[in-house]
Amino acid sequence: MTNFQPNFSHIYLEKSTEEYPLSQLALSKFPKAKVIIIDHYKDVFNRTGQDFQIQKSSMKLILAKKTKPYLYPASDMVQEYGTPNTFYNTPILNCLYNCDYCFLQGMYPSGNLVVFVNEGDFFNSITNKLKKLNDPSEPMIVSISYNTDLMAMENIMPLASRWIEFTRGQINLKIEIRTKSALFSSLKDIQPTEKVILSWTLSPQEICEKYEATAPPLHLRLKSLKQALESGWPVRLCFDPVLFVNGWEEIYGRFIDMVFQEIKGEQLLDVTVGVFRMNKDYFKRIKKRETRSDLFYSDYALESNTVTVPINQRRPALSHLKNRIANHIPINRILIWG
Amino acid sequence: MQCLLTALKAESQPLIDNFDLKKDLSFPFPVFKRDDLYLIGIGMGKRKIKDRIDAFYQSINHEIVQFINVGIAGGNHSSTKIGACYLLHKIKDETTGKTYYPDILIKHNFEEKSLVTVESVISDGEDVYKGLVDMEASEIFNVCSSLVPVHRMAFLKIVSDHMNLEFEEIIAQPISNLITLHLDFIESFLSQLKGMLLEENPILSEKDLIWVNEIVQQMSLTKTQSLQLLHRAKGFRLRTFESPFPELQKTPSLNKTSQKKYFKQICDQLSA
Repeated sequence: MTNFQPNFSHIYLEKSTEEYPLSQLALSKFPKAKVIIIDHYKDVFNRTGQDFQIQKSSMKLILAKKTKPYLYPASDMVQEYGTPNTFYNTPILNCLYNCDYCFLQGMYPSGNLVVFVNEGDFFNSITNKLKKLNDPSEPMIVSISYNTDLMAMENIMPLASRWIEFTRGQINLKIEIRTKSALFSSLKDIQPTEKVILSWTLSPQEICEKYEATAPPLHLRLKSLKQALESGWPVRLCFDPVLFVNGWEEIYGRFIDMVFQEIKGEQLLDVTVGVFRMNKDYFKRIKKRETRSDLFYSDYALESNTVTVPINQRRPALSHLKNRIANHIPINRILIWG
Repeated sequence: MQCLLTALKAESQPLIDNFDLKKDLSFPFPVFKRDDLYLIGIGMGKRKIKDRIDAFYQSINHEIVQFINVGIAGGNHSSTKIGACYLLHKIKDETTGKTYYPDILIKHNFEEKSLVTVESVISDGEDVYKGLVDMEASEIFNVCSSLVPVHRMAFLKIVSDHMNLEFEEIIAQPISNLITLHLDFIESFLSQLKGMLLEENPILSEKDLIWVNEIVQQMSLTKTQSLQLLHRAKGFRLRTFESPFPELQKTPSLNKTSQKKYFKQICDQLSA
């Protein structure tokens, strides 16, 4: 077996970022890391000839300063939650986890993580946008954990808690922190707020083991989610992506019932359900790298620019799942992609 | 497969002796080999590196290979020790200004340093360069990175001087001894690095590919069908690990309709 270096054995530090508090914090968390000074994060992150998957065995940390834009309109892969003011941003590029179906492996040339340390610029961009929303009668929703799992990083870089504190001074803003983390404990001393949605992606344990092997197991995610609910946080449940493995009906049926035995549906903000879907170019790039996941060797349909489960397969399946979930939560609080 | 790259004969000789490498006379430049370990003499400086590495890579039919540069370097007197061996994590080419970053993924016992590749021997650079200097690394990275992923390159540099000697003085030193002192560590590093090759085994084994090719031939599959078959065969292998592929029917020549039908049957079997 290969003897890989531990994650973050090396920290690449952009010249101009040394003085930022987040840089100092990261450097203090990894005192044994070799620090390599770089001119620009793209010199390392965007190098040609990187192997995303092998780098995942020993991820490096890149500390950098983001330049504009700090805010992006939400991709059509994201459920829109009924407001036109939906955005995402990228405080971190890439994820501690490495789920088989994740689009990041097709999006980024590197398996390493970039943390942008100029958080003030991200905050300011939102404050400015709030003043000129297309539809100011609707809230602005920002997914801050779209290209990463922010909560999973909380013990290393407490960005989620800083973002939560930021929302308190804002009017008409909601942020969503989507996670598979079991680290709610890192937020437990923070006063809950209606302005922050904590969203847990849950999958049946069989799926966790096979396709989400580096993320916490189902029972730990559930435990975290329950703690968040008990503390009074708005919690969204994400069954996304549902994977149509052999016996999926039984697997997901049992799983949904089990989840709602553990938590009361009425406590949840809502539930989102989606199937595997990925930008066509990302999908092609992943396959070209000869990914080890059988997911990429199944039959999919190409719809517009998206590779996804064929409509004749996903529609009845999603409808079936929706009905099953509706036994536990009002149907108008179930959001479906597909 | 691993390939050592050395500039000077004095650098290569201890490695040739240690690994019992034999000269491969099929190359018009120094190449030594034993089993799946090669050594190429790339000459001093950048000039011959591209031609020699390209020719070698062609000759091995682009097989999966790791390139490891082992050689001497000048070192800053306050940050390096004469005779110490360093693994490079940053290489800057002084002429082009380009910087390269080798991926350091495996554990190792060397101290890490950055290096600047220069065009000629530095004999008065004691206070100019903070780390190491050599005359080959940036070009090796530049050439090899067009052939293999970055994690399949490594650079080991042993300090021969503190950038205060003329070339004649440097080579007059017992360079081979400097390398010899680190042979055990180099050998262990190569073995660790080689372990990473296992992570890169292709999904389909040679035997699997023979099965795929047999079907392609036997059924005269079109290019699209061949790609479909390959795609499904990979999915089958990932789901079933060691299981044999479905047995081929001995079919007489197939007409277009029965070929399509039989092809679909095979695809279904592979997807089940």
